[in-house]
Amino acid sequence: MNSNSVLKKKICLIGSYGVGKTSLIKRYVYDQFDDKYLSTIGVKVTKKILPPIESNQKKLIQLELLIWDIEGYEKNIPVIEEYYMGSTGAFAVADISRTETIDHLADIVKGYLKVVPDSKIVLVGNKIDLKSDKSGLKEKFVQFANQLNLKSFFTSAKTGENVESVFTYLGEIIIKSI
Amino acid sequence: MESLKKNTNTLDSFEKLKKILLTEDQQKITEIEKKLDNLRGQLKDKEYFIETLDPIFATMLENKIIESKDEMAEALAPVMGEAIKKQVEESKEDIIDALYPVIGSTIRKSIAEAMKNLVKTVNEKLDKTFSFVMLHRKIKSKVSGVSEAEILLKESMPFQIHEVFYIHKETGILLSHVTSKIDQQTVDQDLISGMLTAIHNFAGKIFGETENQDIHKIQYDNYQIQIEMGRYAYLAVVISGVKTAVFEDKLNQLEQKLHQIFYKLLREFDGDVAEYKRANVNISKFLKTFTSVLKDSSEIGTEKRAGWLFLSFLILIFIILYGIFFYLPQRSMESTIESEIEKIKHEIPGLISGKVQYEIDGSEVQLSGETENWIKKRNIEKIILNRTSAQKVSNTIQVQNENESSTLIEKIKSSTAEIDKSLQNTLLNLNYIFQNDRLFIEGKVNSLEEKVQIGNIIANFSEVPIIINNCIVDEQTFNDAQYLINRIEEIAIHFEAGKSNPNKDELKKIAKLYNWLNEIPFFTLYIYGHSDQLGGDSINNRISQNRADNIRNHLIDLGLEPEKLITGQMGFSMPVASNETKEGRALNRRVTFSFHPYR
Repeated sequence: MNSNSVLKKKICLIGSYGVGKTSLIKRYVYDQFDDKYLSTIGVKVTKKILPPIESNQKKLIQLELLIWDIEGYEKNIPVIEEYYMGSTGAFAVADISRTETIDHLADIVKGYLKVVPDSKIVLVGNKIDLKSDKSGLKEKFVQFANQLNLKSFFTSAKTGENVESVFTYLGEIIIKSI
Repeated sequence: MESLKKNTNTLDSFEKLKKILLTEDQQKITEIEKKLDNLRGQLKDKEYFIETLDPIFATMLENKIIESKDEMAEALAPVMGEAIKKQVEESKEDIIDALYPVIGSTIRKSIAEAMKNLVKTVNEKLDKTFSFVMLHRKIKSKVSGVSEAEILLKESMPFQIHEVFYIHKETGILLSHVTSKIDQQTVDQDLISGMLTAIHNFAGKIFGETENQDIHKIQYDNYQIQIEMGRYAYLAVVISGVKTAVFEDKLNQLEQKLHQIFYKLLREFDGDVAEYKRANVNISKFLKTFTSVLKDSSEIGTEKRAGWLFLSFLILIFIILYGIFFYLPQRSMESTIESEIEKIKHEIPGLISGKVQYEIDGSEVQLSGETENWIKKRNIEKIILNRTSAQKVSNTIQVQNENESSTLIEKIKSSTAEIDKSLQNTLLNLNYIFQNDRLFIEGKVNSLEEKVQIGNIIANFSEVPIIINNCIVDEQTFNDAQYLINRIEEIAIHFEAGKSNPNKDELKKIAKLYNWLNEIPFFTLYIYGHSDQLGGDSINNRISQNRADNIRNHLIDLGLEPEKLITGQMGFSMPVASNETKEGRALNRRVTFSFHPYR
């Protein structure tokens, strides 16, 4: 790898239907395809260039993320394993107002790691803007993250809270792992 | 004490004796032990052991294979099979990489062959059609060496390559991109690459029956994305128009080339695409080479104009060549014949008198006017044919004095008197009627051969141009012949308006006519062409002549002697039905036959 080079990495957005994966992307990136692709083949690709990140070798690396926004887990996409292939990282997203989306996340992460075991995963609890935390779902989400020994974030695609941080964090751990 | 000493001495002696007796054996045993140790060592040294046995085993195996080939194969097959399987599993990547170019090349050849067959089929269809545009295309094809089918396809749908993407197969990450578009912003190529890969994954999974089935093209309106799938990466080429085998072949070669350059990097792909910029050189080279083979639409437009200019040039050349090789020689020949005829007129005064006119058309002399007698008429024709460069003489000179019948007949009888003796005065007893340049012979003869012989003798001695031999062998033969003559003279071969060749049904009449003509002896058959009254004289005369000439040619093709067949043009001068109706005109467009010339 060259010094100050550009690296292109494929990452995935995975999670249940309606957790706000696409909203996160819309909030974070601007260059995008129409959403119709998502409903047609179950995936939509967007791109975001992160600010240069210093690697362990003290070299600045420009990371270009090709983000594969994969349709909800419930849709049972037959080609999902092919979509996972070659990815370096993933955001596993849950809606912290819906407990079933946290429950599904275990299977989703397991399925993902089966295809790309070395991939870096960040857990994202979205829709933090919704005030009603009915039954301690935040705690449940944190507990789930601790079980898997994964870093977790709470975000709001609506307000933009923490959205940029999760992408930056994933970018950093990808660069640090090189 | 003494006894002890004695014993000691005895033992020493024994040892000495033992030493004397066994030393040699002991040495041998020591040597054997050494050899055994060496052998043990060699047996433990596997490499030495294998090296020693290797030639023996090789020879042994060779002999065994020769002796019992089938048994050896049976014994080794399971082991070999397993070994190969294991080797393939362990070095799968290397084996696939080694085979990849070979397999690609084979498939490429197969596809190229299929395309060749397609182009051949299209060419065959094109060969069966003709139009002015087609003529232009045919000339262009001959000049450029490109097949007509390819030119037609290219003209219909001009071919263009818009963009080339080189994409990592697993991640969908764009490795290299080259575009032919200038100053045109397109959607981010990285997104296109990612979505193309997603579509490829989706289609492969949903529609592919086997693991290795790939999507090869994506069609959108006039655009097509042609995909050339490689082992680790693939090429996606955005094109419009009709692609050819040349394009597919070149694209495949490009993919193979990129595979050879990058396969080690691609195996360990880490997202660093800097190295793959080198691919741009190959891709640009591909584009450049390719666009020189298949030009874009603007160049094809220029070619079209160039093609028309070329066609005009060809027509001009044709006119010049026609003038040089046909028109001028014809005029020259006419001039020559004219001077030759004038020379004859000068040398034989009175032969071609003022009442005889001639016209020269190419190598043909047309005689008209009138002369004193048929002999003179005949002489004019013969002299012109013999002493000038004319190839053909059309003699329509009218004879002024036809009251020479008796003189002629007497002359025939006197000149054939000697030969008639062998025929038992048959010639003398026949009746001769001379009328309208024709000599009719009538009477009874002994056989058909005799009838023919008489006709030949009269022809040789009389110089009469037309002899009608109506001699009869017996009553029945005469009746049969006369019946056929009547039937032949009733035949009319009809033509469609403006046509001078008969249709299939009318052609059958010619075959029938030919058969009948073979049944009767005759010297001359007159074939007259007729027309309807539509159009001018000159057109109708020409078409009626063409009709007669074509029928004459058919009869010659069937086997009749050309010298027996004379054609004439009647134009619309002899209608058999009204020229006011369509049906009537159809009846008038005909060719008729006669054994006597029309007046």
